[in-house]
Amino acid sequence: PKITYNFLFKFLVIGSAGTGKSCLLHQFIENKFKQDSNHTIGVEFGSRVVNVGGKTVKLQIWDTAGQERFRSVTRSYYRGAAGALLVYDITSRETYNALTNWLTDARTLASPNIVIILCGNKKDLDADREVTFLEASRFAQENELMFLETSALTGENVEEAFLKCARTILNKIESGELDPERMGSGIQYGDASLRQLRQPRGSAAQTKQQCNC
Amino acid sequence: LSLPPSLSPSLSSLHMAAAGAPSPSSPALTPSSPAQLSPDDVELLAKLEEQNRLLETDCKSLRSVNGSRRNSGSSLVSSSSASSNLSHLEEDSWILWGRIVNEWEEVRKKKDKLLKDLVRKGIPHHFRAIVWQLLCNAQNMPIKDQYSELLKMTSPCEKLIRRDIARTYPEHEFFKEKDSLGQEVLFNVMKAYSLVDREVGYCQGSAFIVGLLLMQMPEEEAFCVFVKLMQDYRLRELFKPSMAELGLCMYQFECMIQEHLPELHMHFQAQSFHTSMYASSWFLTIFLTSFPLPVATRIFDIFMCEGLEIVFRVGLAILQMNQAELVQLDMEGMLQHFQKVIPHQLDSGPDKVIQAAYQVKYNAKKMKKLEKEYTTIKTKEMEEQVEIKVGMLDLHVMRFHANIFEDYLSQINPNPDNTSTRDI
Repeated sequence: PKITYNFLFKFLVIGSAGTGKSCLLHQFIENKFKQDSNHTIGVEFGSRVVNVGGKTVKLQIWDTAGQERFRSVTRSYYRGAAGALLVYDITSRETYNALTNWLTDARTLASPNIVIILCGNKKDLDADREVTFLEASRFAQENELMFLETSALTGENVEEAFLKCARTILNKIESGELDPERMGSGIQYGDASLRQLRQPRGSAAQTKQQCNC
Repeated sequence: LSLPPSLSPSLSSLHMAAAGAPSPSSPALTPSSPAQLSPDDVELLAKLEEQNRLLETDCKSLRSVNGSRRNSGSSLVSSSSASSNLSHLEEDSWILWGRIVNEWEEVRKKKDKLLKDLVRKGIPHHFRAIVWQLLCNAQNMPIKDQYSELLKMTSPCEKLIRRDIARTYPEHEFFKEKDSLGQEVLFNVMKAYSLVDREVGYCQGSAFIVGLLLMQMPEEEAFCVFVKLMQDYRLRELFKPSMAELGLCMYQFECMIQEHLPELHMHFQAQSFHTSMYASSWFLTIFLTSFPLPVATRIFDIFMCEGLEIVFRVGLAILQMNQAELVQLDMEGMLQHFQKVIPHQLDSGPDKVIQAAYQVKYNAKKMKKLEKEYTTIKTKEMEEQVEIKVGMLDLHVMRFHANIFEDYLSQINPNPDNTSTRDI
């Protein structure tokens, strides 16, 4: 049976090669660590329906190859993304230093309104840490990003990262800051959606009742 | 003896042509001239056909063993008898390939069509190393002598390469253990290449090709074959930092879909299902990351002999075989279909898809034309981008002057509010 949902959000997972983007996606979709996986060539895809703030939201997630030169392939997937996980590896300063470039790409190619959560992945490898939590939090603050340290291996904060991003988008829709009907918003109404979100509460309840008959 | 449907049409038409029967006209095939075939060749081809037929029976009986318990007794008997016949034929094919290797120059020059047909049937495992090297002309390359020197050097790509080593064939026996011989030689070849070709350096995807070579041959030889593939098989263009050739391949492939499978093409467009969503890895790794390894290896045999054309052919054959299902699916359904269903369609072997690939009409002239078209489009795009950049530069210069002017004004005018020129 087809699962109905209120919204569909288009998501991206971006960041340098080897930071664990595909593993984060796999952990989120399958609830386990992907032990033996190839490095990603081009783009891969996954989706999951989640419950956020009483709404069913389908996340349609594009996972991209990390090497710089693949940007020519992946950039076309940025268009109209509503949210992104920007991933670096806490044990590699190089992947942290590349964040600014990824961020520019996301904001120029996707949309200036894209909601981004910074993920310091491989949190389980604390002994090899090269980037402190504090330093990355400052970077996140300066660039208006949400921030979590994650572990695709243990699953810690993985679900949270995706959900936090989705919740923020939803809040922005409810407050009117984001307009799902704008072209390239990366948001679509699902079949279960009654487009009642931006109406006053009373009338929203009414619409719901009417449609349940 | 009736011919089984699994037979490659090219082989049967060849056989018939040699036997004096009229060759069926099929636009996908170039009928070979009967004069090229000696009676020996004809006999060998007949044997290969027989081998193929037995292989087919073998597959079928194995399937019925898995599929139905009731038939298992009789299937096992037929399976084992097929296998014992197979070993005789295997011997024959060894003799044949032994002869081909020994008389390589002669075969290449005078029996190229026969060679092509044999390669399409699959190179026997034990001959792959030598035949691949012969096919791409990688023997006696001077660069081979530099290999050990290259390994002593340091490459700027080392870190990048290192990151991908454990993520290349992670399930394959030869590569899966950390710091195994497989991982070490894979690193060595990738590093050596990045040193001789600074422009390409290392590109993700290429390690799958080198990995396949290393499954067949020692590292120095794999290195030479890889150098040849990069130079002579369009791979270098695919892996360059701009990856422009990949864009071209996507363009050409999409045009092929539009021409041969217009209904499917329209469905893809309606669903915003882009060629690159499923086909970039087909081209960048010659199906090695998309299909089961035995199947991809057989396709790679043909790639070594005929080049990138086989990727277009097999790609289109796959779409053709799946068209009916694909048009029923939305974008997400199609992505799932490509990821999960299609690889398993090939579990029973590559013969069906290879056969279908040779039914595909591939027009080399048309491809050349498309290349020109694509270059024109890209050049135009570039020019437009340059114009935009120049425009932005002008704006920056104007802002800069405006700021100076403003500073100047603020110096002479004590009330700066009225003098803002920022919004020029």
